[in-house]
Amino acid sequence: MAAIFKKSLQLLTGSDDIKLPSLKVVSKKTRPLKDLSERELIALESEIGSQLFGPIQKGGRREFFNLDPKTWIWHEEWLDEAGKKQQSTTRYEVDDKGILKASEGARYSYLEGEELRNLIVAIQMYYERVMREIYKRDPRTGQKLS
Amino acid sequence: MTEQYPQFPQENRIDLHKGSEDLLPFKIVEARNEVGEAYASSSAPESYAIPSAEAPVELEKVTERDFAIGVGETIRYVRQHREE
Repeated sequence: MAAIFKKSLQLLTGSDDIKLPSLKVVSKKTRPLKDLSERELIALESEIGSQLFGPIQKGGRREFFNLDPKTWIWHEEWLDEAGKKQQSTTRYEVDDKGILKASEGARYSYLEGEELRNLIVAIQMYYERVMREIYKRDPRTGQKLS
Repeated sequence: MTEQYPQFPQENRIDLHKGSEDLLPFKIVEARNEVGEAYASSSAPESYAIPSAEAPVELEKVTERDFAIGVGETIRYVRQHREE
């Protein structure tokens, strides 16, 4: 997860010189939310986010999470036909005009069409599950679930 | 990997322009319910527009951008107020 945070920050800042503090492993035994840092909460949320897009191929890895109110990160690792690990990190940034997509080696572009709809569905599903399963709140009202 | 972006099951698709309030994050719903009241206070999120009593937000005009911002603000809120 720390590597993905680092990649996300590289995409945000354009700098390769990013140093992150270590992220301790979050276990279910240490899950009282008040004791968790924001990064640890994001790691928990990404466990859910990674499940939204269907199965992950063997040897692969996926993260999908809300980094801050205006930034969403999608990270995917997979094995290519030669068995070599490949990876891709995409940052979705909400600005005044819409939702910008930033990927390594690609131009910024505003999302539209099916890709925009897919991202919104992902955000909706993420929100519904994160609110219920992590924060124990009703997604519609924000009230604590009993 | 052939997909250039995440793919989703069709049955989970939503239509943002139907105007269903159930789809909206609660802070947006609060904004609509408390027009001219709580959102005139300093507790209002700064990063999305606060509707005024004179120009209430019309649900059919909620855009994908508004939705994404609303979710992001709401998640930040619940992270900050966890276990309160």
